[in-house]
Amino acid sequence: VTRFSSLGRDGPRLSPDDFAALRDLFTERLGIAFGAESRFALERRLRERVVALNLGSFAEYCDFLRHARAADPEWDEAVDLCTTNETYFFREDYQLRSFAAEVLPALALLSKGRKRLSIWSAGCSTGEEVFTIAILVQRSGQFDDFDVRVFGSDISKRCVAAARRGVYPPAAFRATPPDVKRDFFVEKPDGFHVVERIRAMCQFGQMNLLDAERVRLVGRADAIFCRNVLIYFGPQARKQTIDRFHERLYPGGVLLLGHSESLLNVTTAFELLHLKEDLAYRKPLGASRGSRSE
Amino acid sequence: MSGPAAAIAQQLVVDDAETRRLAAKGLAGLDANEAPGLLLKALADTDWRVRKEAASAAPRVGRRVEVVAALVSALHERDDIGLRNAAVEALVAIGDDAVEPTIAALRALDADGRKLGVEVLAGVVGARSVAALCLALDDDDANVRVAAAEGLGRATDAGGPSRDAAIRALVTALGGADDYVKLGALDALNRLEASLPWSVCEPLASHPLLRRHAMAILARSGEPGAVAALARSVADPSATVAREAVVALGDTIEQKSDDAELMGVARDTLRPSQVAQERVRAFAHREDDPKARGAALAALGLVQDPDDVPLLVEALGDDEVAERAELGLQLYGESAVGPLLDASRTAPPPARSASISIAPMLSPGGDRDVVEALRAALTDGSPDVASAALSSLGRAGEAADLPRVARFVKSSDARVAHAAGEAVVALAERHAGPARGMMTALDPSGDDAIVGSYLLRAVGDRGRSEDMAFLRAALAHGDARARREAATTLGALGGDSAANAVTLALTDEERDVVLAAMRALARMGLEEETLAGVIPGLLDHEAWEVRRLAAELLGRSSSPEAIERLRARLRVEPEPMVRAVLGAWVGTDE
Repeated sequence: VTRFSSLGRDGPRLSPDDFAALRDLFTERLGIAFGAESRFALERRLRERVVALNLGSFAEYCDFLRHARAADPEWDEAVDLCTTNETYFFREDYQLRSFAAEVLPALALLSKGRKRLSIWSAGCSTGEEVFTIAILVQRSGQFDDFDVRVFGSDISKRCVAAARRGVYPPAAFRATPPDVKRDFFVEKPDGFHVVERIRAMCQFGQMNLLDAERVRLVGRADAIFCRNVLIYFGPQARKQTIDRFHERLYPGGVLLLGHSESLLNVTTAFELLHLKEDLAYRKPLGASRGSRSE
Repeated sequence: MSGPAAAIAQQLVVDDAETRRLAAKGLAGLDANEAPGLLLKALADTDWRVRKEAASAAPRVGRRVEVVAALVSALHERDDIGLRNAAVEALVAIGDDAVEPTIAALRALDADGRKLGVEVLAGVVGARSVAALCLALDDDDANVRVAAAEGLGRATDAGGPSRDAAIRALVTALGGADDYVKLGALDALNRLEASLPWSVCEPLASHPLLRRHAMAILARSGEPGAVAALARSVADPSATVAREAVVALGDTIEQKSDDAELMGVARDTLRPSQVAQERVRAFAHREDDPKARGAALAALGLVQDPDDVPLLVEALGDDEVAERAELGLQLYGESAVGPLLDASRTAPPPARSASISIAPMLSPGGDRDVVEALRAALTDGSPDVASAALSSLGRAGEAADLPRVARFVKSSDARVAHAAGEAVVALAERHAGPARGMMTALDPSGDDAIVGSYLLRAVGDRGRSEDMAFLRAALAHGDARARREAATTLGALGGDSAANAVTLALTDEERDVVLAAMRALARMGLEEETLAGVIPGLLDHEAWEVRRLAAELLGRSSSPEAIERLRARLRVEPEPMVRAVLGAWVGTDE
């Protein structure tokens, strides 16, 4: 009887206490901070996992995530269910225009000695942003003899797998200029396929941005896109993540955040980069690799 | 008498044998004037268990010099055989300290005693004891000489010079008049794996008593006369001699199969002898004697009767003798190809796959029938046969076989897929032009990514942008196998661009891709600093195989920082396989 006491007519219920425990777990492991309004959304999304694991309650589910040997794959499941993956090509186009017109020329100058351009899309979801960046880099014509690498990472295995497929439905092109769609995608029965020359510039991996060691695998980057990811993070996770971005960027490298995100009250290690249509953050040219200042 | 000694003395005379055994056990560590006498008393006990216990306690009894002297004096004992034998056992257990006193006593001992002394020296192998044993080969007593010869069979443990000295002495003994000494010397020379010239062996090969034991010596001689004698001995009227001759001939074939002169001598001796051939065939059927059977199968390769090929093919399916059967078939040369091709279609799977593997080796000119048979075997229902056909096609196929074998790289059977990949690489290495032509039609994001990665492993060039673009696109493929092979090929091509791409592959969610990327980075010989920057991030990877390889790679750097990282990981690592590697690098047994 006890085992199923929290099972309602539609399955297990997420009590306020269990929600608090679950929320803290997500914050600790993934940096994601759910607000109180997320309780019923979490209950709805994770209920199937409680049932699938044959657990009696969300409290048991918390214990499972915290202690079970099989918790790693379950975290993948939970992440997939609880994170928002909806995105599309050329999202926040005003920022991308600034990136193409102002940031890329600056990066071409900055990296011309090493002839290598490295851009990281942190929290790339299903890959639209990564391919968008690669298209912009190629259209710019400034990196034709460069070794260009656009790396997309996401915590969700499912998203990374989708990104690697590189096949998208028409809805993903709501903001894509027609000529771009024509030049960089091939329509097939299962959707629009990213053309090979763009795919060859891109690579994907699974990564928790709070995992400092794993983040080091990315190497040094000329630009980092992390758009609409930090809004889900608590203050501490946000700061840790920004510090790691700072460490990964070359001096002069640029950090681009979502339109509702800023580094206000997070760090002063970056300098503001005033673009014509947007604001971005730049690691000062004189900064050493790991230096940070508050 | 001291307290402990008195107690042991008291217990050694009670009726209960178990009490006496425990008393003998108590001699270990006893350091008293009475210790030698008590040890001898225990060694003379009527119960063998007490004697055994005392002999094993001897090395730990105090007053070593007196103890050894007492034990050596026991070798003079004529009546109590139990004591004498136990004294030998105790002296051997004591080891080096017993050698000189035993050698010194030899002059004063009677023949039985000297034989026991020789047994002690044979049990404590060292330069001094080997030298003494060599001298004992000239003892007046035949039993002492035989014991010395047998003892010298262990001289290898005393080091190279002692072994050489022992061989010289034993060879001299072979020239003596005493057959039993010669027998002992032959056994010893066999144990020493001595190679003797044919001139030394020749008299032994026809000796009625010794020839059976001489066969192995003949095999090591490596001279035509010895090989001919071996081949002749296959027809010896004695079944035992014939068996030893076949076994020795098999060893010779295995070791000298590429020596045309020796194989010619063996062949020319065997072929004219119907008796020898029938003997070989009979042994080739002896399933109860795999050693002789394997040797006979190899020897059939010298006889080269086409009727014997099916027997060899059948034996390919028997793990115990398959290697020797393969050796025999190789000696047949091209004349075995036809029967092998027949077997590749009709024999059971193990023999089919072996036939398909061997046939191309016997037909180096690229026999069209062989290649066609290999192609046909690609569709064999057995993965073992299909894998063997792919491997053989890789070696013997033509450019046209590239697309044929490429179809199998995505096989659901890992063995077939791997063999196909290796075959693609082998064919592409020999047919670079057609491989390049094939590349132009491949789509790195589609089903061709794996094939392309294999082709580029053979013909890729890191300076060609299209090669790198292909591999980098394959590194973003949805199929983990494509990503794995792309990482491996990038590792083979090397270069900064490849290293960057492969480093990012370390974030792949699939274990096999991460492992391939790690191996690729290691293969590229990245600087220690680079590896130290990325590998620690994998020490807590969810897959223990990745953690183990990370520990291995990091440990090789041997930097203090790396060792400290490994030490920290060892404190929390749950997987024994990983702990073993971590423990090895940080220098603990954990």
